[in-house]
Amino acid sequence: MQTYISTLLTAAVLIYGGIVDFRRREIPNIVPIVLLIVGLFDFSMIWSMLSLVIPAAIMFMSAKLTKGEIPGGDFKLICTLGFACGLSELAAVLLLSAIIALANGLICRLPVKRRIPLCSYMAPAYILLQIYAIAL
Amino acid sequence: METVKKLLKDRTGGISIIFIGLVLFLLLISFLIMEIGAAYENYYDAETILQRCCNSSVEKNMSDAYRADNILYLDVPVAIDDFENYLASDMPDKYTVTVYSITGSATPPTLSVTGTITFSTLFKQYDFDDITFKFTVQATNYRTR
Repeated sequence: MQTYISTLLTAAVLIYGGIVDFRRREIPNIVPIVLLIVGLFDFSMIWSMLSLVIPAAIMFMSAKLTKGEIPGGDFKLICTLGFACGLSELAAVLLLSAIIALANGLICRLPVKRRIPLCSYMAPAYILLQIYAIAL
Repeated sequence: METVKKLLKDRTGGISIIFIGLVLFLLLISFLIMEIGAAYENYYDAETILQRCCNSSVEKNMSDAYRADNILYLDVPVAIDDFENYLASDMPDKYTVTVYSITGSATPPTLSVTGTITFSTLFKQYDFDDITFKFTVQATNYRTR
């Protein structure tokens, strides 16, 4: 029951964040806050903290490698989603989001180097992943 | 610290796909390293339990009557039964142990077990197979007093 509630909460907040991100290219702070609260439902000291810190470290490393800037909204979204769902699910959601974004780019003939509203792609990716997990 | 503060205040979205790809790649590498570490930890955990079962069954079934004459003698059939009993009671449910062979000799007293240990990884939720390791444990008794 608790798993379903946290899944529903995460999906709802990602949909909300996705809509706002699509319209304004901005992720409201309520999205990472709710994800942090959801993460507290199933909190394990080591794994939850690792799932929060590792994505942050990786994003800093990626920013150094690409000499680019990390958008704050996306940074908080990725770190807190890792905290709420765990690293494996975060990796799966990111992979699926990238696939959906690439497919959308191919269909609409958009350049690969474009900036995308990440939350708008993460919401369907997360929902698809949950449906797949339930179907299994 | 300043960068972290700036990031926490910033609410902007809009990230490049290449950046996501890089993050995903690094995330998968770190995740794989952690999972390989966890798999080896599980393997050593199971192997330690198997070794303990083997040692205990040999130790328990050394014949004291022979030992008085400095002869080492192991009751092999009972040792094999004890090993199986210890295994059933001590091995946690998350491990599936398949024993291929249990061989023992009465003098010198040795018991050797080979087989495989199977356990699931975090990738199981995405339909990946369980991971299987081969194992060989052996116990010998040298004590004559």
